[in-house]
Amino acid sequence: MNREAQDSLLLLVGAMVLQIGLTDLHLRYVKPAMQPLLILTGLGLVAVGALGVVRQVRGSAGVQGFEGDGGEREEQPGGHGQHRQPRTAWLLVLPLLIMATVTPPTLGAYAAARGTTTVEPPEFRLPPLPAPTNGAIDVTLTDYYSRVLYDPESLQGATLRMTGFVTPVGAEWFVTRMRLSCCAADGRPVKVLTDGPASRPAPPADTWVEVVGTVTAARPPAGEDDPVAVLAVSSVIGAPRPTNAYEG
Amino acid sequence: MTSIDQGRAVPVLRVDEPGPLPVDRRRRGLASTEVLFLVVLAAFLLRPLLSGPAGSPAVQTWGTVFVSISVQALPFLFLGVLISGAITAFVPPSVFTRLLPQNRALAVPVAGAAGLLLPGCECGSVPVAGGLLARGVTPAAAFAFLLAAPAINPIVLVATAVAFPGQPEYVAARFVASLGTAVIIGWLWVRFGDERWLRFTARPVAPHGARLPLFVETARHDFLHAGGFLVLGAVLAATLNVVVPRGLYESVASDPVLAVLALSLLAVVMSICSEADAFVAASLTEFSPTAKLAFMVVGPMVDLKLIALQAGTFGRTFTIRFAPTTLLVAVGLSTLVSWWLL
Repeated sequence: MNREAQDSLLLLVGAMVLQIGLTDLHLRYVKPAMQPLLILTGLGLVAVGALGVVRQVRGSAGVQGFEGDGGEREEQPGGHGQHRQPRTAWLLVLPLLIMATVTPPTLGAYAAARGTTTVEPPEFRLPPLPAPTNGAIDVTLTDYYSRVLYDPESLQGATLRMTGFVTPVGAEWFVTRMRLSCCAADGRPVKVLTDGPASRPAPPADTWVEVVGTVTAARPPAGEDDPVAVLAVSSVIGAPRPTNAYEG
Repeated sequence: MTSIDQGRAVPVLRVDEPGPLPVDRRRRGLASTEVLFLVVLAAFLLRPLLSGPAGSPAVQTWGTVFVSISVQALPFLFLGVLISGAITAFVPPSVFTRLLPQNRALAVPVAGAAGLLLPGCECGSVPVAGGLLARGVTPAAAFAFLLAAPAINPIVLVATAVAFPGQPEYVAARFVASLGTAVIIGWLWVRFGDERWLRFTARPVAPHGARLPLFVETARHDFLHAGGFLVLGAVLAATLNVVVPRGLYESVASDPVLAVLALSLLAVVMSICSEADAFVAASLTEFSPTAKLAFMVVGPMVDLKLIALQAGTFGRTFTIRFAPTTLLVAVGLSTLVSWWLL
């Protein structure tokens, strides 16, 4: 790979990282806290690439690059050739192509179906549920699952509302969110099984829904062995995908 | 012995020399720029055609995991190449010979403990260790630093404390097992290591007044080189992530021996950053403390993206010896330390 292509690649990769950092795209792949690092990295890569372009232009205009700069040195037999033209740099084109063509979505039902829900025991006693708004209490799926496991009394008699996507299991379905610790590579699901007439028929996989319901006894999905948290739903309506589709 | 020997492991300690004059540089140069733009253009034009096969959930999940591993690692890799560039351009080699004990066996623990100073994840420490090697730091010390830095730096230790609230013994165990593994590997290198396994480039000393250009040039070169290998590692990691279901690991959680091996393997496959791996370890509630510790000790030292980065930076001959040895020592020491502290 020659200097021009290297400069272009640095500019393109920098622009990609910058675009991911500046838009909501980063929320598909990493934790929100990575945003400033992505923006700085994008700016840095663009700067390095732009510097290379400037030097190329200056070099061709007859301005002698300084020692240590690549433009001319390659051709000096006595120079310190640092220009081993890394061929592997071509691989950096792959994320560019994938982002430009398919722009992979957030993890969905396919990834969720392959994992089981694990929720760590809470560090402190769980706080009381918040007050209801519009007739139901908004909770995250993680919070609901955690209460089912570690503080079931707090859920008694409460009408709860949560948002997630549909992960089918047999004829039933889970309302689901993915949780990230670091990036989508460690995404793991929180899946709450839906129950009751209002949950049927199952919406298509990956549909975002808002469900309202009450706690009911944990049980395994039909045909499986391990009991999971269940919500007896009274209503299921379509919902927009949240800006950050992941929890925790 | 030429300097244009891209990515091939040569069992000779090579010092960079000017390569043969690229006679047809101009023609080849035009070609690679054109290829780059044609490939990118083709991708945009083919976009509608790709939506069919790329629409399958497995392929999309692969893409998400691949992009996320790459995007998560890039800032840390960039920080690493900046530090590596700074070492090359601004730090005279004499600094390291003065700071590190002359005795190589003593230099190893000192370099390992110096890992406390580099806040970052494992992908950043590879170029930094490469920069240290190129500056004449003894390989045993550079490798102790390479392994220790991503596991014992303050950010990682704080993250571990947050991930395991009320259980500071996890932080202590992680610190002891990680630094211990790094030092043992360094000592193993002193005893058995052979510099002929290594491929690296001795870097020029900056001439007076040209430090900044050398800094930029080194960082740029290292980024392009290591970035390619990072992508290769991310491809492997994403593929195994999607192909091997997580349930397979979980199915052996109750077996005390298999659980440790399963989480060590998961750490290798997952390739996540050391700054966040404690949260993943904490979430693996069905596994034993020993298995969780092994996950946190192995992850920053041996994973697929690291193996690719190391092979690219130090050569394949080195990496096929280094990675398995490190994995063995890390798993063994995690078991011992967990028996002692957890």
